[in-house]
Amino acid sequence: MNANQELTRWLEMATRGLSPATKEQVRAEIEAHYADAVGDYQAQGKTIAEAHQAALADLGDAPATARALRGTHQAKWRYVKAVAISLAVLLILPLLPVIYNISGSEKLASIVLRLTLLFSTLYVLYSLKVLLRLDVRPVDRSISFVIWCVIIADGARVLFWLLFNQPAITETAARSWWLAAPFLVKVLDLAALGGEFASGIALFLLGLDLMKVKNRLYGLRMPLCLLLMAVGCMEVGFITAIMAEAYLAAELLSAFGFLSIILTFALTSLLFFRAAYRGAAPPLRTV
Amino acid sequence: MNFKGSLPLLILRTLSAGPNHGYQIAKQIKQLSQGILDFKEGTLYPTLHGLEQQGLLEAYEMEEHGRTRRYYRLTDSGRATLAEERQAWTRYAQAVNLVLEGAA
Repeated sequence: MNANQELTRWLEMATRGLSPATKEQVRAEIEAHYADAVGDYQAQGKTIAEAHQAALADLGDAPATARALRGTHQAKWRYVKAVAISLAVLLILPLLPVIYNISGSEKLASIVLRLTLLFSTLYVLYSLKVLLRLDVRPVDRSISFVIWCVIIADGARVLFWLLFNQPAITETAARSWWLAAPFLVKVLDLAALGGEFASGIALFLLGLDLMKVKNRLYGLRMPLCLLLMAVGCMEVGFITAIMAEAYLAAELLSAFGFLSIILTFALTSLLFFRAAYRGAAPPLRTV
Repeated sequence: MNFKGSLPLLILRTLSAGPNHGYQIAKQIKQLSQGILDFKEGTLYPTLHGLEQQGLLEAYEMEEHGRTRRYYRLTDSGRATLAEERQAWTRYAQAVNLVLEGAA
């Protein structure tokens, strides 16, 4: 492979996933950069082959550049999608009783609720990581913790509905049935229960860790931290109340938890709207 | 030396001397730091484009030796950000020095 082919291959890898216009702009910019570097190396006494090799090495890793370019050029579109998803949650949650009334199926309404919360939570959390960019380290671990807990809890609840045509036992409060339940029922119920309890703790920790980032998230960082901690407390409280068979407390916590979730998505829609409108503001320093 | 995170600040500082294109920006950072701050030049462009999206830089194109070059210059907002970040960096460096000297 000659030097030009190597550069073309590097550029193809580095600009993968970008829009044609951006791709063309980046290619032109890096080609000019490369030509200057080759010229300078030749002026320093390197042969043409050595100059090409050194200039290509200076550009570095093409996949890493591609990731960084996509992060920069697709960030705005991601924030717009995060706004749309947050707003979709705000629309879908109040529509659940309508879905239930029209279809007459509690199963359908419950599965729609769980899948909506699962996918929207994953997308919003990942968008938050993109928004925080270099400042993501303080929350990286707690975001991953939340993601896995939510996948386990909601995945188990959806599977339970699909397999057994009823909500997980923790919602029916049929604790005696638990003792006689077959193995798969026990596993799924435990995953739903444990996953939800752990996701409550994970959300609380994420709220605490988010206080440590330097990015002020357009002045919305503190309300977001408080809401995440509130949702976490409600989830832990709800599961504890269910386990203690304190059903009135569980109903109350469930209602407040639902309200906190709606407020959280309202806040994330505002946060990502600001990010899309004003551009992300990564911190400039590592300190 | 790994200086991940400070590249935007170094770019703003380099451009405070006047508009320039990517290759010269990279070269100046390396020269001014006497080669200590070495980085992969491919990563310069996402950072430049990010700063442009934030309104801290402005880009314009110019014909140079039959090739269209993309130049960058600081905006007023970029100049203000540079002043703030420079102060913050100086305070940080002083604090680290105080600890290092105290520990010696």
